[in-house]
Amino acid sequence: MTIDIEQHKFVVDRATELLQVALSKDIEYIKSIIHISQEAIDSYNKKNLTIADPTKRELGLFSSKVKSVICGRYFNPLEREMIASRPVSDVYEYLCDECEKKKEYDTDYDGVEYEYYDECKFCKTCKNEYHKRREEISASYKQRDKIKAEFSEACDKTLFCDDLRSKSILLSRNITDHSKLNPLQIAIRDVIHNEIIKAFQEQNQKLITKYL
Amino acid sequence: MTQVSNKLMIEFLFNQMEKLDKDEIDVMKAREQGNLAKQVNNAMKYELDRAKTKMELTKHNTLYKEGLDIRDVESKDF
Repeated sequence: MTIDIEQHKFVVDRATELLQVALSKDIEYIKSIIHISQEAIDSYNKKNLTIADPTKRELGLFSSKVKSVICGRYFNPLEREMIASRPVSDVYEYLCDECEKKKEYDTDYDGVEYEYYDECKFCKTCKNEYHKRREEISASYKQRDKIKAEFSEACDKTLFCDDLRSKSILLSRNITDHSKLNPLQIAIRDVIHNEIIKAFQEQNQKLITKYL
Repeated sequence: MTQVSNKLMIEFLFNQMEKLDKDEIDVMKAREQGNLAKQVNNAMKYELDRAKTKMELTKHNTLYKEGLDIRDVESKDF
């Protein structure tokens, strides 16, 4: 059965390519072949509650879904924590009274006036302090980006069973309006998300304990 | 009691969704089943959180040379 489906998938791919170069008298005939194979794939999908023919787009959507689920659970709380514990909340917070008065004003393209500081006009102490704090902030951003990249790489390397991927794609094919999910769809989505987190957690224990 | 795994649950829910599409079950029934599935899902979330806490504890114990353990609700002596 699976071999048949593979053959049908192959037929659909090749016939779609052929359609672009076919003679006009053959077009209807080729379309009928595609139709037969597509129907066979659809009925297989329906019968087995699976997806035998995920498109590249659907596979890409699944991998971005994995990232968003994992980020929501692990990376975002971590990032919030990092930002909260960041040594400086505002680079201009520690300016002396003199330098604080050295505000400059300008207008942007929309004609809205905004204020800013010109670091060249700061006194020596404030200038040093300003550079020190800027470096601290950029170091914390670099650290954040490094962790983000590690999580993203781990997501790419995590192996998910085909069944889970199929079910996730099947669900997205069944949803017509993403803003109005019914309780069954919400339940399925949550189960899939949990399963994604479980697989990630099992395969990336070291990474999680490193940053938790 | 029926054996429950996540895979079986997704399967079951999809079947219900199909039935709902074909009007074999009514919306009320589907809604209630969705809500029950939500409860099962919460239990699953608890399991994941538990695993995460265990990982945290292992790290804590190695770092501070302590023998903290999770209070086990599942164990018989609790």
